Amino acid sequence: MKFLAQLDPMTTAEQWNWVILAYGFTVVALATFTTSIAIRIRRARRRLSDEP
Amino acid sequence: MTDRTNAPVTSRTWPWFVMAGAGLVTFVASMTVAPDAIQGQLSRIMYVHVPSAWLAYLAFGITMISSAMYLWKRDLAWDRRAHASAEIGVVFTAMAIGLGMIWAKPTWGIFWTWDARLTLTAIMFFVYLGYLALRRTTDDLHARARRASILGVLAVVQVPLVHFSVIWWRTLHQPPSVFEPASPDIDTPMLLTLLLAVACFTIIYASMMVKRLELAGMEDAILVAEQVDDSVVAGEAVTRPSVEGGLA
Repeated sequence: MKFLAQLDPMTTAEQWNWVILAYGFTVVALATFTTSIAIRIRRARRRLSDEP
Repeated sequence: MTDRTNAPVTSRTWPWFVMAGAGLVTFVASMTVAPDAIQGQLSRIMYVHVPSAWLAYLAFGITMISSAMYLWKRDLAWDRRAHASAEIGVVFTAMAIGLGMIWAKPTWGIFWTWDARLTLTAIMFFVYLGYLALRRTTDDLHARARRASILGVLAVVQVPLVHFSVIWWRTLHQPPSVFEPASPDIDTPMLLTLLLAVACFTIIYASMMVKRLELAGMEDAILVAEQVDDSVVAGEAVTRPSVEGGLA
């Protein structure tokens, strides 16, 4: 296990890779959750409209 | 007791646009601010990690208040607020943990360590997952609300534990940069960007709450309709027994 002082110096491009990974993770997480809400609303609306 | 389900007739579309707008503002602000002198570009991860952690605190705080209000008023609308907020809080807690791990690998050299802050956050995540699982143990709306509300009130004790863990124990996770007793240990442009990101994430949370509450109202309406259908079709003889606190 290496800590910051022992790690090889990271280039700016390598740092950006981690930033892109973090923002990609954020976008995917938020988009997945909001899509799940939208799908569940659509299904619930359909079931309610089917009620006699 | 109140059994209003408040199933909405019309669906609001503005929360989707507000969420997208707030997300875009956060992205542009955090990509244009100058990088940190020591951490370099990696400091940009802070603008999504810190607001996610803040929203976890806020969401679980709202869950606690709504749960307490349910126990007092016995109005299911409060239970739906608690449920919606807890679900959103679990998502943001998972995001805070995931983003923290992505930041930790290039900074500490490891994705995870059994540090007090990290461990307590993971425990909080699993306790609120348990809260969501507890809600699925019965179809009786008030029994479900009562059980969940008790856990919702008790579980919030973890929020101050998580927040102050970096002060109370010696941890690898850095102490607070913004709410320091003396003065904020962060440069002004970075502080303003962080506060803007926190505000935008709070707007995203509020918009998510609007849509999640819309869904919660419809889910309860479906559950009530199904229970009415059972009794109408099958009659008294085979209607499911309503056992206080269980089975029904």
